Amino acid sequence: MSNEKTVKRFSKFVIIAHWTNAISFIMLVLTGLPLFLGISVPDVLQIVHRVFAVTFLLPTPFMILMDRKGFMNWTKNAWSWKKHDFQFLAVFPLELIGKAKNIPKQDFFNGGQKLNSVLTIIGAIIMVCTGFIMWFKELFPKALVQWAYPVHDAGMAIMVAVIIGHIYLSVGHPASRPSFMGMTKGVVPESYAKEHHGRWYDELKEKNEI
Amino acid sequence: MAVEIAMLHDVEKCSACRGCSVACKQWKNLPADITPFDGEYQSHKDLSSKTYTLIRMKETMVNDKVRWDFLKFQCMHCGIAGCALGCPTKALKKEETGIVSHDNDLCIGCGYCEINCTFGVPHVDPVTKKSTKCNLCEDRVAKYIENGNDKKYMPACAKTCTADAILFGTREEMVKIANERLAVLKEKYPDACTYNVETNNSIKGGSMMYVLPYKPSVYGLPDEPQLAPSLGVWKETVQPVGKVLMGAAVVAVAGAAIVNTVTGGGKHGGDDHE
Repeated sequence: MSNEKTVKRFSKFVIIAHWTNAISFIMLVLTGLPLFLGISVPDVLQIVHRVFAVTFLLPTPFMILMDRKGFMNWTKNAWSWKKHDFQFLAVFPLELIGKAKNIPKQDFFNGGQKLNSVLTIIGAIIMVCTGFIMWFKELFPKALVQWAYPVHDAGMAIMVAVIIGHIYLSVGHPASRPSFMGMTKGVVPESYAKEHHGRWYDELKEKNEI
Repeated sequence: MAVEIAMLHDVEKCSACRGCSVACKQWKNLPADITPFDGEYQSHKDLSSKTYTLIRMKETMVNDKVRWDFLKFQCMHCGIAGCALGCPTKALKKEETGIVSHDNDLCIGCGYCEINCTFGVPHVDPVTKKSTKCNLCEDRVAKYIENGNDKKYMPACAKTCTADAILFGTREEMVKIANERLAVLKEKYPDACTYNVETNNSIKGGSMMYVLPYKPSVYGLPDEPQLAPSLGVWKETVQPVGKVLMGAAVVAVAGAAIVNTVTGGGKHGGDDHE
């Protein structure tokens, strides 16, 4: 694959935003999960958790300022659901064990990536809102603060489950592993684009971009 | 089973001398909490990490006369304690004696107890980052039980009370006295009631009990104390389901990884897809 032709997938801003978000998320889980699991940890982790809560927020304004086009491409695409996206999800369990046949051509983001994006966007909003309420609890009614805890925990559990799948698909899964290059070098092999994102590949062809 | 103990504040007998607050400070070795004078007799508005018990003083005008209502406010040692349920490290625990104890070594100062206490009792100390509250002089109570319910070892506040308004003994004794006193008070005060004696509410009563001449709300206590409804959802649904969900995700990807390694599935970059 080393001398294979590649196509541009993500700008360097998308890559910076993604990894800022990823590192923040992992640190938030590492510093928050002990409390969920009932493990006693040094209280300084509460401060570390808040530091990464702030860095977790940064990618959104960063993208809006630096690469609005890339940001809009992702957010718009994530919410556009067509028949082929649902078809992808229907065969996804088989794809996971390398047994899927006849997956319909996918957009720039496939059905799975769209689902990942939607859950990540909604999850992040929920975590930020409940986290804010818990951090500045003296500003809010007691009942709201009390409910923020179970909602923050539920959001965490869902997002961790999603991220476990996301990490496996990008670095572990044989079929989708080439996509990881998109988040490091910003490009993916042309063959990968053709096989996994057929509709995007066709668009690029039409526009004579490849 | 250990002896279940309880404390009873017979509000009608209380003279608001605040000897109990002072005795608490002394036994617990707590510094004075200097609060500004704001025109009221009540010394401290609320409990703090340095004040575990205080006397609430409420003035009410009745027929142009001042009526004083006093209440010894402190941890209620609830039958089902919101603080202990919310505590992620099990530093707070409802003991068999009825005491809600606090283990300083397990406490990480997260403040979940502050949020989930029905009565707003625990306070995390801003310096030590440890939660604080009355533990009913657990050390003294242990001696009390050890020495065959020797009154010499009752909690510091009860021992010092000059008006015999703070009583301490086995829960059984205290319930009996509370009900006897209630019958007496009822003749003079139609609204008289006991508090935390009955266990038919969501906090299942408490080991800090009261006999009150008036409704609980007169003393700033909730008439119907409620365990935070979010606690049940959080501890019985969200956390167990969350653990299963995260575990299932790990199992699913591990399973997929094993299947793909064994069968060589999908190795050719999805060549077999289209």
